[in-house]
Amino acid sequence: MTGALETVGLGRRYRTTWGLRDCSLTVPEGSITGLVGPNGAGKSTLLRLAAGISRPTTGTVSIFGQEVRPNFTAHLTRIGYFDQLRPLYAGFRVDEMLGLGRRLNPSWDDVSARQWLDDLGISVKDKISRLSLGQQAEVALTVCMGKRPDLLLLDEPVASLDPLARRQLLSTLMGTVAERGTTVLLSSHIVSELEPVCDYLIILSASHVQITGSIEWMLANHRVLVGPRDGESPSGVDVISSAATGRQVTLLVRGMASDLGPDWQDLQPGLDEVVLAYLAQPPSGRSTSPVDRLPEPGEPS
Amino acid sequence: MIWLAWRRHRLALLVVGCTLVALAVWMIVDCHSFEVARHTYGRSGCIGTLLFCNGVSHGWFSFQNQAGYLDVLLFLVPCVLGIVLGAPLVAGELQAHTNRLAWTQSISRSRWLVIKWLVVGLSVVALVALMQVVVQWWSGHVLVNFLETSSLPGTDRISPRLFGITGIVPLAYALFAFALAAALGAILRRTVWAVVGTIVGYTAAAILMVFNIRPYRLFSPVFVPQVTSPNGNSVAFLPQSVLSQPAWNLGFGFRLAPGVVSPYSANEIAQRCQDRNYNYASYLRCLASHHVEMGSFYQSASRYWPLQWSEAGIYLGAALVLFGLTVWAVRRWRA
Repeated sequence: MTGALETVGLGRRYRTTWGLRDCSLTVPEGSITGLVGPNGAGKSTLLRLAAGISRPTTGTVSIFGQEVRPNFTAHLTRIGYFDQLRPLYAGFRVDEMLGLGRRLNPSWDDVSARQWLDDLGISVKDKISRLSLGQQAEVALTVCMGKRPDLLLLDEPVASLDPLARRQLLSTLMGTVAERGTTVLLSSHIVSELEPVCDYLIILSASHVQITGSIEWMLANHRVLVGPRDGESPSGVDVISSAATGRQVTLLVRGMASDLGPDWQDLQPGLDEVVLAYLAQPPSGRSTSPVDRLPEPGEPS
Repeated sequence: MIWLAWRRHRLALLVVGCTLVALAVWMIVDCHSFEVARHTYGRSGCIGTLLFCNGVSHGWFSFQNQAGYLDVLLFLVPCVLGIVLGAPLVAGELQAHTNRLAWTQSISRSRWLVIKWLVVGLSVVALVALMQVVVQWWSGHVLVNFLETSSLPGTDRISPRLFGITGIVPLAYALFAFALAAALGAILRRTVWAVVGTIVGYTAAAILMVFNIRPYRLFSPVFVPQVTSPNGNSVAFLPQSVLSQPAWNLGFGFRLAPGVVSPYSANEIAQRCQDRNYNYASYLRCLASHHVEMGSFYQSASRYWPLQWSEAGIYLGAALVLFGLTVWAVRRWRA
């Protein structure tokens, strides 16, 4: 299976530290994949590498089977990249930003871009510098969508919006994306924001991929086990995190415990619990646990 | 992309254009006051004999000062213009992170840069060219006339004071400063450092050009041997026939007689002869035995256009190299 985005051993080093290290993953075509991790985990680095703005120190990144090279336009016509800083030309009017998109992109869809802005209540005659931060983010997203990209790379797209605008923008975005069959990779550090819109999740922490998988798979394959602290650990599962309180221990495990003792409780975790467990995992334990690939569609999970 | 380059930099271009218009107005006013001054003081017979005519010449001197400011200002204009538009060309986008926007549209960054560079760079050249029309007229009217009547040295356009602000070299200076600022901006990634670097680099290049390349390297200067009277005392440097011609006098110096090959330069030999001989006559004998001639160098006024074209060519070549360097820096795939 070739994914919309594939990375092999991808790494990026800044002066002394690694922004992203040893990252191999596939984003399936047509999926909406969330990129979760704390600040500084490497989410933006991965997205910049995918957009071809940044150069990999190690490994490769390909889009629709084609290696990304910044001086070739082939991949550029297929991606829409939304930077977390939402750079726009501050002196331009909104319609001049649309003019920029129209002139630099052969696949530009002016009608739907204007329709989109109209729905968001932004006048095209306004100057960019006069708009609120949230509106600037919406204009930047409109410029991304106007290209009619096959792959959308969105770095914290709703970070500067209020909760209501967040929901509105995400639902408008997902509507258009579903209609066009666009693949989306979007980052956030808020899991609850991603859960309703994403099919897949990539969890990044300390420059490393902790785990990737569909949300469905993640929920089906992780359990919270609560049992006695000094009792025997359950067998047949990987312990991702454990927290002891008094005489009890709470484990988040991957896999199904075959024979749990009678003093163990087996609970269904929420997605944010699973994500937090992976983020809390020390990087040293990383090599033993992750499944660094997404399951094939239809593969039993 | 041409639209984007223009839209992105039109404000800076307009501001610069307005400044040049103001400068042109100043030149026109200056030209008018020159005519008035010549009328006033010329009639009293003071022009040409200023030293003997102090009471009347005060106004004339103040005029001289103003003309002096203008020609220094004009010398700086191409450099300033190049810096103002060149330094932020790439560095400004990198600092505002708008390169991330531009580099993810369906256009390669090389193309983005080449078009941007050409649109803004050629606008700079066009602006300086327009200004040169006024400068040419002003210098023809005022500066040449004024310098001649003051009987100061350096009356011809070949003299450094006029050479750098007339003809076509200002266009090349402007493009060079622009290319240098743009390249430094792309490499250092900060507008401020690009400005500082360009000032340093441009000044170094100008010094090297005026003191070394233009007088000696492009066309060998005319050499007039020193004439020594039989008693060895009276020495004439430039003959009157040369002095009366407009020329760029490079001053006293040494050269090896034609056809002589030596591992040392004429100046080195002259220095050694001077160190070993306290007597002037033996010093002269030392020079003669090593085939070193004393005399004066000058560039004749007829070299004006050959020198203009050569110098403009050198600066243009340097600008093209810097252009290539900028493309390389931008293609270098970092963010």
